[in-house]
Amino acid sequence: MATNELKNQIRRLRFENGEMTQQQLADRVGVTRQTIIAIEAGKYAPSLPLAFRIARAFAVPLESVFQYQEEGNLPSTPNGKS
Amino acid sequence: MNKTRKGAMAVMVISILLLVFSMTIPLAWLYKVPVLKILPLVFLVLSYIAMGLSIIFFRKKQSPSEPDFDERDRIIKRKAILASYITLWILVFLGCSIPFMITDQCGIMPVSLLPIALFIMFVIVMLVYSLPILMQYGRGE
Repeated sequence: MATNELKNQIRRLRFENGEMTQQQLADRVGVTRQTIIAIEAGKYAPSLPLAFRIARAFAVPLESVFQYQEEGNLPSTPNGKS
Repeated sequence: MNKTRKGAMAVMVISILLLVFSMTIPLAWLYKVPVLKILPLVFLVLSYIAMGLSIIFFRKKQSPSEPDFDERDRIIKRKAILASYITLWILVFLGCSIPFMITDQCGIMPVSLLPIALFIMFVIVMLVYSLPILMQYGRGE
């Protein structure tokens, strides 16, 4: 259930959306606050429908909320060396 | 704390009390000490109190619109059910083989031990069901 590869911007987006609380987000997307805490901490990877609901709650595309980082796929430097 | 976690906590507390209760019954029979005779009754009363308190414990919700279960709860519950199912198989195997090992093929044992053994098995399975739930919720926060 733990996902280190799946990064998310939920915390940042909550604060950008009028300092939305975890409970308010949980109520909007129809899950418990514990699930939001686990997703935010990267301990739980949400299902695709839930991920879409979270993105819609912030009115942003899915990629703005969740980013998938493949193992060994490190960001490269401008000269092409990683 | 959501409903699944509360439920697991209540099940764990009641299971421990009932486990102690069922284990003190043979003790009360074997040893004729007056204090030991009261012990099963004490733990039975305590488990009833815990059952009563768990109803109050269940009432409070974090938010009126909060769902009772969500997808993560279902995954956690599924894992806990699997753990308790495996435990049940192990206990049934042990429950069938241990009496043979102790008493041999033609040995005898008090018939009253059977319901106690079954009850202990049930309580252990419930305990094993609640522990993975609490562990998984603990890990997720």
